Amino acid sequence: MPDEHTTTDLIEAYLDGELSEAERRGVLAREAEDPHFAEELALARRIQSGLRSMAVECPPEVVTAVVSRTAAPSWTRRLVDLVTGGPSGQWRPALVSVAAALALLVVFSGDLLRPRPAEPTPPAAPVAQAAPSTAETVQASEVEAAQRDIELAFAYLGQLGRTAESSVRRLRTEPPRSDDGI
Amino acid sequence: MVSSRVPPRRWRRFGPVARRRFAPWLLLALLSSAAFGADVNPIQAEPGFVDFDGFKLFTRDELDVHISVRGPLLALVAGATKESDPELSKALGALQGVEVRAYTVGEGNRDSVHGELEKMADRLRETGWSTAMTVKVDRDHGYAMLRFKKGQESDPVGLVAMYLTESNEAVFVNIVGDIDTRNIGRLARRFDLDLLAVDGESAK
Repeated sequence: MPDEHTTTDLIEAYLDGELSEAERRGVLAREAEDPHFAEELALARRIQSGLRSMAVECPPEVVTAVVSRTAAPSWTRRLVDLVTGGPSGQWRPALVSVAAALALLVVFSGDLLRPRPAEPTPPAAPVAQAAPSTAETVQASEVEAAQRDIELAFAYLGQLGRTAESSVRRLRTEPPRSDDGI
Repeated sequence: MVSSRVPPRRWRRFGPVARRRFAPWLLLALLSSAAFGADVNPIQAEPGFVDFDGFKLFTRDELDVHISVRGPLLALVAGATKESDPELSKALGALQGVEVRAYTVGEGNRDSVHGELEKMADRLRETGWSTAMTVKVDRDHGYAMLRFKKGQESDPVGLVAMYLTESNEAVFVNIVGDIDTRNIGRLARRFDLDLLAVDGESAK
């Protein structure tokens, strides 16, 4: 299993153009010498070219939504009309009220309207505190639990990938049936 | 809610000038609720987010596995694994949410769940998702779908994997954020192998 993992990584890096010239030559040499490796590489090339040729079309409903939004009056115009009671409405008292409302919003909302800082910088070693407080201990255990959850999530993704991989291998050795597909 | 107790016709007593005076306060209330709402659950506004509850395929009580790691907690894990697992840390640093739901399907419901999976895939395609992979082999059925940034085909901002296994486990995975597909693929393979190794050892 580890050999397959390394070979797959090597092939991916080769196809992504991430190898040095020497490593690239090594892959080509191995392709010439090792039929199994050559077969894996050829399969990976076919998959890559297949993925690249996949067309991604803009769904028609997205086009319709964009066109209708472009044709509609702007929301700022609608907002002004709402506040002033229409294009010819009395706007001055309403404008004063809006200004007061926005001022209150700024005062009461506090940091809601301020630009948010970047994601919080996590502690360098959340678990390895000499004498952690209860809060720090809970935080560290939560982080560890979250890490395990994330690893399990990736494992679930890998399960689907493994199924697809095994089906690709099987299709190479068995003729495809009408109800199979990749 | 006070407003729900007030008969609507009472509002007719207020003239247009009074209504205009209420409008700014209504606007204030809407802005405040929008600001607080966005603060509570920003991930739902992300294009890569999929609301599995909205499909009504299962209830939360039926779930065998429910994982939901979002925002700051993801950032904490990214920071905590920076030295021990740089590959994982790098992938998580660009993500905003990871969600998994898995449950066991009764043999009698297998066909209907399979049908629902296909409907879900159709609905996602209708809302801008692209199918990256379809697996239909024997009793394994599944989809991996990607959502890209508008106008681009190389920067996924969402990934969904949905599949029904031979052993009747239905699995739904949603990853939200800037996705490096190759890195995520490596991690998926690695942790899947790790899990298989653990299962193999525990089976001995």
